[in-house]
Amino acid sequence: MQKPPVFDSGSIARADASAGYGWMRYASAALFYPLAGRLIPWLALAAALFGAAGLVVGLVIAPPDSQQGEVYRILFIHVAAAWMSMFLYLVMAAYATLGLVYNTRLSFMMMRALAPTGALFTFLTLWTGALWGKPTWGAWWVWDARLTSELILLFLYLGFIALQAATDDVRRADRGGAILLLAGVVNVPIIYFSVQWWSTLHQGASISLTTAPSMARIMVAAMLLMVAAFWLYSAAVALARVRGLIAQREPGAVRPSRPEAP
Amino acid sequence: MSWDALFSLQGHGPYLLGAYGVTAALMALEVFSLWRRARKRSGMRTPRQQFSPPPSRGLSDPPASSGRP
Repeated sequence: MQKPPVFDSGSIARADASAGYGWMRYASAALFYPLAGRLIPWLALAAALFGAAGLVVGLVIAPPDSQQGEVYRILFIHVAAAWMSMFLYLVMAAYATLGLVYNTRLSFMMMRALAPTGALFTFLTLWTGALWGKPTWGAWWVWDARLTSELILLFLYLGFIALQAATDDVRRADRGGAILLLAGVVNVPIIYFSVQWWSTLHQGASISLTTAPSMARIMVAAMLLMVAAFWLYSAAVALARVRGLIAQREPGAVRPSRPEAP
Repeated sequence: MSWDALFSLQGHGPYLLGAYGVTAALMALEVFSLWRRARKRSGMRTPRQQFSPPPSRGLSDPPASSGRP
């Protein structure tokens, strides 16, 4: 159970709401809460549409691979999940930095809201990779640099979640979690560049910003549709979770203001 | 890819079903838990937002504590 934070007050939230201008004003929980509520249905709808399109293109339209057969279709969700696992960790680290530097409560809440989804995608990366690896490599798991560093990423996510749950002091949990996140950021470039730095069983990148993809266009399309679906899904569930955190930590930001007595 | 190949226990069907099925199941579980939590939260908040008088009494009726008949 969490101890109610000492700064929890509706008047503070309303004062924050009137303090900033432009996009910065959405750092106020009182303004961000309804905005998140309006965005969630649209993000969820877009995620469902992109996901359905990705499934159709990936499972129906794309032809079997000449070498791997049908099992290569796992890569459409494996690569998308792997990208999201690293991307969400970097976004969490960015929110951790903002929270530590500017002491913005919403940054810490966003950092915390993203963690379960990041852990989910990291687990899915390892799970789908194992299911692809067994028929392709002949092994569910190898202690390869790419796989091992991705497993460490899962432990970082789980460690962050455990640290948040370990203490009743919300502010200490936020700051401790933020420092853990920033210390673990070094693992993300290790994951990404591991296939270049070391001789690994895991193959190199098939899609790069600087070179043409080494895959057929229809396969790239299926993969990018899944990336878009996972990105939109992550945004929707993170906003839904941060609304819960705002309601828990700053209930004054959630309640509509009561009409003043004459 | 045909439905028969996807749902077959031969070949790569089980690997594909295991990957896509677990992905869909875990995402659905996360969405369901968030939806249930949001529903519980809105249910807890609703009684505090009612400022209108109880429907069983008319607006002209004075409260019982006022002493008026």
